[in-house]
Amino acid sequence: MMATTRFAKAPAPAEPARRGPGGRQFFRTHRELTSAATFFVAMLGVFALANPGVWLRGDIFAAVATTMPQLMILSVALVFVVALGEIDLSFPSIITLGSLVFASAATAGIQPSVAVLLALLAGLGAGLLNGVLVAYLGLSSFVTTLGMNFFWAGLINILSNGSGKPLQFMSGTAEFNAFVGTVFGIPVQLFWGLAAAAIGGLLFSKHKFGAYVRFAGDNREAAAQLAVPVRAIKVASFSYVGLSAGLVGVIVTLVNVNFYPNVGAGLLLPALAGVFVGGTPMFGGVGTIAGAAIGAITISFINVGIITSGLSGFWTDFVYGIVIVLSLGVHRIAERFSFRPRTGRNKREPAAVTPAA
Amino acid sequence: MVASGNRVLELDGITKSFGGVRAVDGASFHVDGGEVVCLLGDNGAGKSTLVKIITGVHTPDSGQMSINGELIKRWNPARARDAGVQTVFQDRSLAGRQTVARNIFMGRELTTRFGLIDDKRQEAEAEALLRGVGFTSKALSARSEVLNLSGGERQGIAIARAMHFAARLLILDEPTESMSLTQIRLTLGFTRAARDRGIAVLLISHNIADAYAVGDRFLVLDRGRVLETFHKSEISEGELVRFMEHANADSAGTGSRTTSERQTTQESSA
Repeated sequence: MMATTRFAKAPAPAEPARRGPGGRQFFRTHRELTSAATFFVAMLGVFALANPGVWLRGDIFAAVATTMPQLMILSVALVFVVALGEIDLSFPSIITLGSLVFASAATAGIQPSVAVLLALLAGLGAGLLNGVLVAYLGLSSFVTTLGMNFFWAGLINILSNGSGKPLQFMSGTAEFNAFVGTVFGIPVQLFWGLAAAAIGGLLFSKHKFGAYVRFAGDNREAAAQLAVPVRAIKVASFSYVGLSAGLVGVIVTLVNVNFYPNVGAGLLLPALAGVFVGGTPMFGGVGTIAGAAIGAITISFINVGIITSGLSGFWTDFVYGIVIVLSLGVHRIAERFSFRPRTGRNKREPAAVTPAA
Repeated sequence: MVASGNRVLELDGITKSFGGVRAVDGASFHVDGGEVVCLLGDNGAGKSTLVKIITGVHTPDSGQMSINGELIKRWNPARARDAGVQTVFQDRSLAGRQTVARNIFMGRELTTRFGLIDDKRQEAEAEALLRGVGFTSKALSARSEVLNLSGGERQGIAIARAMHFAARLLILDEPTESMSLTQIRLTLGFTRAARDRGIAVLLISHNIADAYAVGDRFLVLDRGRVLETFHKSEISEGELVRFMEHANADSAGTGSRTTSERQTTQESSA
């Protein structure tokens, strides 16, 4: 009876397309992105219900755009490391390192554009060091980067004597306008954030680098057998995060027109949350840059949403917690939903190429 | 040694130990273009370790290896690939969460003028390859994620990939394991096709019937050494099976070997 039923159904799957209706196919290949976007819209909806009037004004969005791009730049770069099955916890101190290098160089009278370059190089170097430690010494990235976060934070405290550096003289310079000025009322850093996301997206989904990152994060052994340079890819990914942190270091310094010795510290959890809220899972092999960008936006709107809803700042962490856990739930549901038809079809697939028991 | 003009692979006294356990112990043999050489042996005989040495994943402790008559100095997977060595590993070397096309072209991407991966072309070629290997199921496309495929389908993809890129030497490590009869027939057919194109084929198998069906020469490996070599004309399938049983029974008697053997297998597959 069972067998007859299965046999009768067998020929059916041949016709139903491997490419379902357009929408469903899009959802399948971009399910993390779709669920991240859905979640973001739902969250905005809740905030808007709490205080509809505020959300019609542009200044809220301008406020978000001042700090959001920094998160976006970080979350995008972190996707590469997370998709490799690794983690980077040292970027907050690398941001501060970039900030210190930039502020010190600028204060010392070095050409500001050269100071920017030095900050980027410092970030790149710190990231490179992480990568070498993880890829070539085989150290755990979690512990290594946790240690490096302390290392750089401590070194910065020693070098700066724990005191800040005012940079008011930078205000209005060409470099200031290039990173944190405004164009038509839009903060310039938003363009940097979007550019970082666009470049990251291209690298991740269309370039060999991204393909290798995903493959190595998915099956390291197989990657090595297929001559994918796994170690170099790891070093490059950590360097990429370092470089991005260096850039964020320059931006935050110019936003504050000040260096202070723990400027990066507050970005650790929001930037990582952006990655996971965006739908990149922890197990490696999979990731989404567009999702991370949406994740960074989602996280950035939490603060504003809390204030416009009339809640006190004490609610912030509480809402962060809810958002992060809820979004993971949404991704999980989306994953099941998008997998179900395929698994079902495979089960009905007859003996053509099934393994002999 | 007299190297024939067609000698693709030659191993001489290859040794490899893992933490005091000799996985390969002075193995010497050769494979010529246009022949299928089968490496037969029990678990822990050193088959997988040998494959990983030939493909550059492991470096031998001692011994010499030549490919296409050239002595190998510094060998790694990228060089092996560039020398025309293609391998279907026992674990198939597939990444489950990537598409079939990305898996087939991993490390050898087809790119556009701007250096980006040309997914359209890769998918089209992958579809053609899959049809070439005998896949007819429409549920399996170049855009399917490998995770959703059956063991036989995965094997087919690994073979399609190796066939597509193998220039000189094709290594098949347990190619018919966990396959249906139809799929085995296809796999063996492809093995013959590769040989007929002049490719040297090294086939590693537990399954003597499958190996005998395509093999020209049979090397019986035991404890990392080549115990015996047979030409197909010298031995019948039944005799080969009996010889293997005998060899296995002999080595099973030596007490402590079983544990070390397991270690070796684990390490070499780690």
